[in-house]
Amino acid sequence: MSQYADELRSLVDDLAASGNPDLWNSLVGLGLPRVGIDEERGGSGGSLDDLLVVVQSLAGHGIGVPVVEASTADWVLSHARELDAEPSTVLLLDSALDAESGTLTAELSAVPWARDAARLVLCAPHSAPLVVDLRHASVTVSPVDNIAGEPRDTVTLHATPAVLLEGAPSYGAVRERLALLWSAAVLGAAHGAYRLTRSYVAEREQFGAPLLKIPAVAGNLARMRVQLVQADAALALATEAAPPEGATEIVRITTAAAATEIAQIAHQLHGAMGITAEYPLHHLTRRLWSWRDAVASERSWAESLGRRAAEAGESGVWTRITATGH
Amino acid sequence: MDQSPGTDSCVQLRAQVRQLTAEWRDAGRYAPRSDSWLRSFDLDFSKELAARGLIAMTYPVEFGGAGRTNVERLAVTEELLRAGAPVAAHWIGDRQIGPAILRHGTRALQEEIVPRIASGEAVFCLGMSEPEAGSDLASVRTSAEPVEGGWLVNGHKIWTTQAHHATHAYLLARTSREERKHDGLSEFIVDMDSEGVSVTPIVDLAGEHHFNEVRFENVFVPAHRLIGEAGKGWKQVVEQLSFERGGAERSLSSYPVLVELVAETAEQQDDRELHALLGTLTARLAVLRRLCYEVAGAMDAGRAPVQQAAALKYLGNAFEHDVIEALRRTDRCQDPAFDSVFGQALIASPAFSLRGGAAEVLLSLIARQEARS
Repeated sequence: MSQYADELRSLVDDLAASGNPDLWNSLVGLGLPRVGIDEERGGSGGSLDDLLVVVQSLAGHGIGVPVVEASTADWVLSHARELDAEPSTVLLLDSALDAESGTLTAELSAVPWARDAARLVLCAPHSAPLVVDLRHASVTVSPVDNIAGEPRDTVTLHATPAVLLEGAPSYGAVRERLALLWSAAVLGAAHGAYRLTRSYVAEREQFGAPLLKIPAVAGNLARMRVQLVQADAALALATEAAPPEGATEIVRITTAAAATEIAQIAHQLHGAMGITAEYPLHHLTRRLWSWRDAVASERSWAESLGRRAAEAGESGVWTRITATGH
Repeated sequence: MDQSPGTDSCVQLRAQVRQLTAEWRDAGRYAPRSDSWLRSFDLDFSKELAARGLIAMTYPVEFGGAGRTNVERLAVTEELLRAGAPVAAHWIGDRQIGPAILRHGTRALQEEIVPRIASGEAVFCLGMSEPEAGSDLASVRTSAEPVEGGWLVNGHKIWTTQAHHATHAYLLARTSREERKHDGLSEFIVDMDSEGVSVTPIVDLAGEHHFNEVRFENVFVPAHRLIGEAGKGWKQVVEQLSFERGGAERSLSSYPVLVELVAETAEQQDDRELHALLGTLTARLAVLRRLCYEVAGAMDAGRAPVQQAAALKYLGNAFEHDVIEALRRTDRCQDPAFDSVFGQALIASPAFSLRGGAAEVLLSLIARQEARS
């Protein structure tokens, strides 16, 4: 757990409450997306745990800013060069890229926030990350949005210069960091949806009493809480000093399952109010539906964890999940 | 995390339990089974554990305990359940009654009872539920009336696990009628060989006898067998239930089925759905273990984690059921034998989410706390 957690949380809460129309630039100005990167490389210092708090708190307000993508791109870049002020984004690919010639030709889909970024960090298996200049003449960016209304653009590269980032983190390390950050984002939005739902059912009266007095409503609210208890525990497990093998899969599967159930119950308990544009619930639930399968789908994490469990056998599984000693 | 002084000793404790259970299993002295903590009764095994300091682990040394932490105890209980070992003889006394007496009992009661739980001599059953009360413990009608030198108990308890083997009963009884039905309840320790105690079996749907009805007719209970304060039993029992709910036995009752599921999945290389199902269950198990650890840590810090324990029991019981349903998805379970791992677990499963508070009761308990916060 971050020792600055409370401080960071209240900083983000204040910013979110201020109604600032240019929130992202305020966040950048405060250096928040560069938390977790060493100061001598141009970062803001602090640990990954601190960054997780920032991501979780922003998500809790239903705010869609490129904090996960920008922070990860900068973290990768910072291993190879000093950071400048230009905004960067990152894309994780599932197959290798051919950039032997120093240029890339490819059509990349679902590139987060490409239209707003100056650079794209590309991470592919079995090679060091590459960086391309998104403002280069050979690059076309076509805007596409995901169901949360966040940019997931199509980027076309035509013999675009691509620079290999020597000394940058491995593909696996980037994937793991993104998985953790998205888990924190999902958890934040899940807590946000819970808080909104709890106040709604406590305040809204029907049949002469607050909705919360109806046993089925109270039971559903409790089921949301149970999901949060579970997802909080999964993130705590994954952020331990020595997390058990498979902790990344575990936290992705658990937060995704919590997102699914919480979004469903939140809408159920809000009734028709929850499906209007003016009411803030959809800022949280549309993000839950998008983010729960970011990086890789819940199903693929589950399959890879299951495959390794079957290979390890019962004794292997038990040894792994008890390896932390307690 | 994990820099706690318990870490190394937990590793050693796990190794010790793995060795002991393997020895007993290989010698044919027990067969692993689901729900062993309620159904598998072997006083010799409990005494063997006691001799090694593996029960009464958190109790003070002066009362025969090992003076260890709840986190260390968790390591031992997890390994015992994983092995499906016969632990029913000491489970209730060790988990619940010893700690209740240590928290609220007089020095004399502590000296009398606690060392006997620690040595495996005292076998406890829980006299909480009644035919008319079920989960609504505030409605218990069994009465204890003050008489010269103690109390006179009359009443009728039901679903009393292992009462036919028990040397002692924990008893929740009404000692006065108050306006609020939560007031006026008291907790006692009763000798099962007292005059006026009778036990009749209730056979469960597996044809097994572990439940009983217990009747108390003018049973004299000496004054010093009162736990804590007369009339304050409700507060004490709620706290006690958080110890009952928050343990590993709420997630691992059907663990032998998971063992088969892992083996079966390894054989079905092409079945991606089955692998994903096993992956999800593995993730849930890891998180449940983490929650158990957090509850044990809270108890070590002197807190009774009521809400967390209720959430853990709710999630753990759902996991125990889902493991059985996952194995059912494979061909192994067509027309399952009555005493197969699957058969045993399925037949035991209706009780998982009932004992210690039904799922709906737990949700309403969690909801009440949410409404307050």
